[in-house]
Amino acid sequence: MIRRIPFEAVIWTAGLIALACTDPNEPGLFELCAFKWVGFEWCPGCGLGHAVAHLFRGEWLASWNAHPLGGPALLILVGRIATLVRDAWRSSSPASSHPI
Amino acid sequence: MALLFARILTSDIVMSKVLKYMPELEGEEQVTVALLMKPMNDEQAERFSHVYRQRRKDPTLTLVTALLGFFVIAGVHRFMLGQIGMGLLYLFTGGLCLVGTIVDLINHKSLTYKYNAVQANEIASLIHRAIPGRDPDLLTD
Repeated sequence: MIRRIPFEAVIWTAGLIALACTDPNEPGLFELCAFKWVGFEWCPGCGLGHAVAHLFRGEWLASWNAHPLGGPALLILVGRIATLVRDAWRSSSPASSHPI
Repeated sequence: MALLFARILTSDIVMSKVLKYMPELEGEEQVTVALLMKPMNDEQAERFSHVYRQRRKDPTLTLVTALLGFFVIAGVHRFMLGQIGMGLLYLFTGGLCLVGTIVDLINHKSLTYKYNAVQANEIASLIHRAIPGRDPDLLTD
């Protein structure tokens, strides 16, 4: 049993699920950029949310046009979630927590 | 089970070495290191604490480098903690539009602790191989 679910894994998973459930073709549906909240016009990550949402729908070209890093971002985040869950799983099994 | 675990953690036997050699540690990190140091003899414990001090990262350093994401460049803390993929992702996306940076500010202690725990485990097994001690099971002090 997992003793403690890692906070970071919850955030990334929730983010990816939210993007998978969102239609990127609807205009102005979501605004995730915190730079925009404080008044900046643009930031290097803008379009990334759309890019990942397009990926979930198989719209590869639209994804690339929204942000070229959509694919790598999705892969890295899924990898990170896997690492976090694996570590939480390992540290919760008493036999392997302190291998000496 | 939880009660037994708590009792083991707070016992003097487990904590004595970490208090002697690395008194600056606290919280979860202190317990982890204490359990690793318990079977060590004095020479091993001394060498372990020396190497671990060199390699461990301070949570405050993670916090400060993560804060750079607001003004200069994002992802430095992820590189520092050996997460190259996440570091590159943050670097090229402004820390996932600042959201990732904020998550990491909240989470900086846990991020650093996990890195340090891996380092401590590696160093401990290295020390046990490099400096043969008495059989850990025979230690009763």
